[in-house]
Formats: sequence, C-alpha cells, structure tokens
Amino acid sequence: MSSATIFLMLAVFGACCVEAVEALTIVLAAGVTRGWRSAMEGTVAALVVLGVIVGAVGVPLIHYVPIDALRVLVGALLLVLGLSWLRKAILRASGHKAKHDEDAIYAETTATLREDGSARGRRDSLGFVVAFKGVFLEGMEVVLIVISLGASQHKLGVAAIAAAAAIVLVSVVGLLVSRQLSQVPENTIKTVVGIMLTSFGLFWVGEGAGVHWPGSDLAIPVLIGVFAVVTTGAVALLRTQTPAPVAAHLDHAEADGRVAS
Amino acid sequence: MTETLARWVKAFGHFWWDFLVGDTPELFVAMLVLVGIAFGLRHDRVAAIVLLPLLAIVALLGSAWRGRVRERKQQPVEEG
Repeated sequence: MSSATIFLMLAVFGACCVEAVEALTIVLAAGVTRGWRSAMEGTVAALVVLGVIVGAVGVPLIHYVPIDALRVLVGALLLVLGLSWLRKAILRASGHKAKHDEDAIYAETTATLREDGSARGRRDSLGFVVAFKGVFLEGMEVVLIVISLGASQHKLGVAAIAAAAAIVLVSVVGLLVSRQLSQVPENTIKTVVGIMLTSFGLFWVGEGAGVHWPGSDLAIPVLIGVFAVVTTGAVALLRTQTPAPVAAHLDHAEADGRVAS
Repeated sequence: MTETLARWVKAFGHFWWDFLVGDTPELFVAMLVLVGIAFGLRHDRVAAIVLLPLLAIVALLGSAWRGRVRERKQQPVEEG
C-alpha cells in the first residue's frame, strides 16, 4: 500500500468523522424530539442519496475524464476545501473564532423542534426532513472529498470504505455516549484533515498540470509536514494577538439551513 | 415541475457558490492563481515546486489574518 493510499484513507476517514459528528448531533436532536422512526428514515434516505451521487458522479469521472484534467480539477477543489478548513481551524485554535459546540447545536435544534409540538410514535415529516437535511448537507462535503481523492488516484472504492468506516464508528460511539459528542476533539481532527486536503490538492494540481514533484508520492508527506509547521506557527502567532474572549457557542453561519423552522 | 426544477438548480448553484467562494473569496482567487502558476511553470520544475507551496502558505496566512480582523470587528463593543 503506497503512502498516497494511506494518506487518502486517513484524510477521508478524518473528514468523514468530523462531518458525521455534526450530522449525528442533528439526527439525535430530531430523534429525541420528533421520534426515532422518522429520524432514522431521514438519515437512511440521505445516506442512500449520497451513495448514489458517489456512484453516479465518481465512476464516470474515473472512466471518461482524462486523468490529468481530473487531477487538476479535484486538486483545485481540495485546495479550496483544505485551505478553508485550515483557516477556520487556525482561527478557532488561536481563540479568534468560537469553537463548534455540539452541545449548543443540540440544545438549539431540540428547542426549535419542540416548538412545533410532539410527534412521537408516528411518522413525522419535520423529523424526517431535519435528519435528511442534516445528514445530506454534512455528507456533501464528504462526498466531494471521497470523489476527489478516490477519482484522482483511481481508488474510489478505498475512499468509500474509509468513509463508511468513519460513519459506522461515529454512529456506534455517538449512540453509546448519546449527548457527549462535544467531547470529540473536532477542531484537532479538522486541522489534521485540512492539512491533508491542502497537501493533496497542491500535489494533484501540480501533477495534473505537468509539474512532477520530487520523490513522486513521497512529496505528499513532505507537504503535510510543511503545512503542519505553518499551521502550528500561525496558531502560535495569532494567539499572541490578544484575542477578544470568544465563548464557545453555536456557529450560526454553519448551522444555517440545518433546521427547518 | 418547472418551479421545482428551478428551485433545485438555484439550490445547486447556491451550494457551489458557498463551497467555492462563500465568505473567503481570497482562497478561491488563490486557487485560480495556483492552478495558473502550475500550468505556467510546468517546464520549470524547481520554480514550480518552490512557488506552489509558498503561495499556498501566503494565501492561508493572509486569509487567516483577514479572518482575525473580521472576527474582531464582529465582537460586540463592551460598555464601560
């Protein structure tokens, strides 16, 4: 197994863990307030749609798009996604942005859903829609990562398995600990995944454009090391900039659109 | 039917706009510049492997700094 494949699996697994934690928070809130049947149906429906998208978009990409064009395209997507995850992680780690608080999101979502009355014990369209929307929206980024990383290395199956493993792990742990999802070191995982996505993105943009990195695949861990050092330095530097106190609260910009109120 | 289709197309466009540009248009521009440089320097390997990571780092740090300034502006002004 090459280093690129190992990093692909780690990147997909990590990204999927972060998004699965966020989605599970919404599903738990929908299940507790609106009934588990509708929440589970919404979750399964969203996962099926996401799986169909991976198959319908990923497989043709691998077979019909020239590999170099595909690598530039997915490299560019991974760069945008990776740099924006990394930027957000740096701001959160340095205290300039509120951390993602699953407890606050859970509390706000359950409060919103309870306002609409109880629907336990029967099929509930609101519970279905909230769970579907939560899983679908969070899952779309994972789908893009799975398709991008999987297609650029012709390892869509490996990427899909890594994503599925993360979903299973987070679901089992999440259901066991229920509302302790805030204990997951989400920002740390997001930082690591952001570093990986940025490194993969830069690598594939270069390779697709015809720039051959020294050591081929071995350039990926080197890029990861470089971005890890830069990220650590940036966090340390921004911490010295006397940040205003930022309480952990619901990041409204991220939560927008998750709850159908 | 047409209305539903229009809504889906709009949502699809909105998703991609949010994903690619969102509140960090500087990162989208940086990505375009990086792709352009990769093609422009594909025959000058050394320059490419130095400049690509360097520019990505500059873009990241610049965007983080911009985010810091913006987050500070959004903080409520303390009274007294």
